[in-house]
Amino acid sequence: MQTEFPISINGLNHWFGTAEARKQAIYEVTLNIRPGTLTVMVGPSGSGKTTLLTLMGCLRDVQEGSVALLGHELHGVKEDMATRLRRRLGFIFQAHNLHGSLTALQNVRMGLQVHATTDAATEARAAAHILTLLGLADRLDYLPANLSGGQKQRVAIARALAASPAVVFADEPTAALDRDSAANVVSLLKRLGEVRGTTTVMVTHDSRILERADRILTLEDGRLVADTAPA
Amino acid sequence: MIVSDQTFLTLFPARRSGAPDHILLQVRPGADPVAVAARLRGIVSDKTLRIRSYAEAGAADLSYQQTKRPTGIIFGFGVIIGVLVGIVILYQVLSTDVADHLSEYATFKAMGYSHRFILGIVFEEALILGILGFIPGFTIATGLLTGMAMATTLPLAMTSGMAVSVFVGSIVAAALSGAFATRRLAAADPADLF
Ligand SMILES: Nc1ncnc2c1ncn2[C@@H]1O[C@H](COP(=O)(O)OP(=O)(O)OP(=O)(O)O)[C@@H](O)[C@H]1O
Ligand SMILES: [Mg+2]
Repeated sequence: MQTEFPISINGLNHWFGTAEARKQAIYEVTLNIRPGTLTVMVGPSGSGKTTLLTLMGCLRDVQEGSVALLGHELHGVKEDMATRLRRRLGFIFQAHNLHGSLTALQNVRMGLQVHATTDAATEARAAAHILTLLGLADRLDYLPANLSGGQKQRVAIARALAASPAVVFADEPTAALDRDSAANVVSLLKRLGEVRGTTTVMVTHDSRILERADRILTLEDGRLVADTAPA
Repeated sequence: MIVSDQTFLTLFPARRSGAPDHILLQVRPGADPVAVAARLRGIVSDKTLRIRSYAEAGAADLSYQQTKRPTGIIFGFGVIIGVLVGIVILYQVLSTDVADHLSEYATFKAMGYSHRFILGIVFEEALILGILGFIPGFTIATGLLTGMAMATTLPLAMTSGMAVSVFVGSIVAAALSGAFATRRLAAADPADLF
């Protein structure tokens, strides 16, 4: 039962700091996320959205409770297992975090190379393909410094999606994007959900994305206070 | 220091002109100088006299100059200090570079690149810096030795043995700096990326 959900969370608590500075950021979160869906997390600043996202995405150690990601328990997960799990995930960060010395194409190829499954030519073609889907066909050989904020963010999105991740985690991915690009990215994620069963968990307050989400989770002070599907 | 014979006699009044320091014996073609020296040592009773082949005398003088004389010892220390300073400078350069690119290294971790891969990047950078540092160092040292050889007519030259040992030393020093600098990588935490 558990394993058919790409993400299954049970009684999750999380604290930051030690001794007197110790402060609870996540309280008793329990939820399952179905495959191929687009789940959006909303809530006021400091409500724990990013913390929950990094816990689900195997980027932060689970302290108490259980997080099962793609059938693997993350509580006490070993470093090499975590590394292998991360290869099946795609992360879209608020800051694009591109490598400044690599071109758009090379940055995206880094997302494919970690799997070391294809030859260089196939890899370059796949990277060029996904960049083209995101409207960057004429920017393949540009360094990040020569791209606009929105273009950099689209390169980062291409890098996250290039290797067909099972789950995509995104934190405010459309903040730097104009209306059309943002809609294009959401369409791409929804299509990946339908065609490949890619599950997406995204933190956003962008109303245009909210209305296309399958599910909206609302966090307040580290607690899950609402779990709705938009009409 | 190189001086004329007159200056030498002024500096060392106990020494007299015409009294030999070295007496060069020429052996008959085909005779083994080492065997001749050994036989002579058996015949000559004066133990203050050292009887050696030319090669033995050369090697003994070289080792005396390098390990007993202050200049040789200072040069030896120079090499050790050069290596230590090299390690420290390279460590500074590398660890600053790692610190500048922490978010990029953290991104590699988030993408599923192993810690080994990331260590490899830092080591590769260390080795490239080590090799790039060796090239001008080697060129300058060769130039200096050639210049000194011309000025003094002493047989000074960059030998392949010297070049190889300094090259190996540079690589080892670079690898050590790289190893120290990788400790900075612990701060690359993918949880900080969002
Ligand atoms: N590295 C950290 N060290 C200490 N406290 C932290 C750390 N990260 C987050 N917190 C605290 O945990 C709580 C939740 O933070 P989190 O970043 O998850 O909020 P958020 O919902 O993502 O907010 P925002 O909308 O501003 O991004 C906050 O009170 C925050 O101060
Ligand atoms: Mg946040």
